[in-house]
Amino acid sequence: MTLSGSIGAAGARMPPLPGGVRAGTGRVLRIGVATSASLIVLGLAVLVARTPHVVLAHAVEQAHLAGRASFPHSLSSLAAGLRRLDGAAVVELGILVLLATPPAGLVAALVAFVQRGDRRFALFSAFVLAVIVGSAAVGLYLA
Amino acid sequence: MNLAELSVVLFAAAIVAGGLGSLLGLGGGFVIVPILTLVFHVDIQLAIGTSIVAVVATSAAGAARNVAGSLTNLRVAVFLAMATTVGAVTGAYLAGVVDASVLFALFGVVLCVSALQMLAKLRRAGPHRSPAAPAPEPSVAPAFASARSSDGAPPSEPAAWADRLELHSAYYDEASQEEVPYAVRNAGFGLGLMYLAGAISGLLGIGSGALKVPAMDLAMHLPMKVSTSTSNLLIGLTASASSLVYFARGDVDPLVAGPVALGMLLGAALGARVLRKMSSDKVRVLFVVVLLVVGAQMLWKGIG
Repeated sequence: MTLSGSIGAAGARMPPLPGGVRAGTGRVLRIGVATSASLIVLGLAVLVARTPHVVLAHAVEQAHLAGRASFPHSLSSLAAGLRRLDGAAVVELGILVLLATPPAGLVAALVAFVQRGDRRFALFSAFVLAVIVGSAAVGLYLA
Repeated sequence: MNLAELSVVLFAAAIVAGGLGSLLGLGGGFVIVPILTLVFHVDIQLAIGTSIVAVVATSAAGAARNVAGSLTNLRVAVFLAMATTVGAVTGAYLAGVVDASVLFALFGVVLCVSALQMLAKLRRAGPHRSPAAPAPEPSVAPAFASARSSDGAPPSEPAAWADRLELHSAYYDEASQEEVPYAVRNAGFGLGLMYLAGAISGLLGIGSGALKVPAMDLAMHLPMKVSTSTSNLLIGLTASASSLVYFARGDVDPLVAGPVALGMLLGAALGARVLRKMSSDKVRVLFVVVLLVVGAQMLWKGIG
């Protein structure tokens, strides 16, 4: 049996493996990872370039380790930080893109399953997405 | 130390954590959280928030490499993700009701027992070989009659769910340079185990790759490298449900989580590359060692 599907030894048709589904999902994951990494690197570079005194201060490091530092963690504060070209906001955006990457990969799989007519796995993918989105929404509401 | 120096140290530690995590289908949190809390005395909520980001980073970077290839069984991942995500929601709901120390101790025992079972399987199976094709049984889906389970034994029973859902597959093993077909067994039981793994994730705020990999390896008979690679994708999906909550609560500090995320992404990509070339037996031995260490950590946390 080959990975692309073939006729088996007994003459029975081997079911083809979902190569198109895998490729599409892998592509979305790679884009998400590359975008996230780029934003994080950019954000850290902006921080070093614009606020070198912050990056080199021991007291600032202690504040961050103790959880006393302030940084954007809502969509509105993130947007405001990006408008100010705040390096921390750019890093947070990169982290947000990273957190959205696995569900984005699942969306790609869902679309590919639908295109292939694989209703069962399209339904499974949609169910998982619904659980992820639903629990994130409830958690954000309660936070 | 200042932020610049901290970032470099965290980045370096995360590369190692991401590499190990991606190679073994674990999230890397078992390395990152002790480093953050014991070495740098990071606030525990911040450490957990960073750990969640680390898990997603390991999953995304590792899966990005292996899902397009044949190591990750995407159908199995989607099928099992239904159970892990619902389990995670259940666990999060029950957190605060169930005594976490009891669970940590129980989890520690389960991990140690799993490690010993995986070690016993390694001794029984010997080096993994491409199976010869016996005559197909009429009651078994003909397409996979020649596929043996990962320990080399022929299929012992028709795998109804796995047949109907076409979960069986094959992967190209770069270490042995051969294509290895495999049959998935006990899909229903595996689903139940994944629900438990997800619930433990939600209850204890940890990644559960240490449960998922043995479940796929021992119960569902997936080859070891497929188990770790598929677990990589699963842990990211499980973690993503709660990660936004940590983010919104302010538990993801960009100047702590940022360098960690970068290091995990790089380490996980390297780990995924190593996984393709490493023999299944070596992956299994390394996993058993890490499982014993993590199990002991959990037991200590539960008892201590």
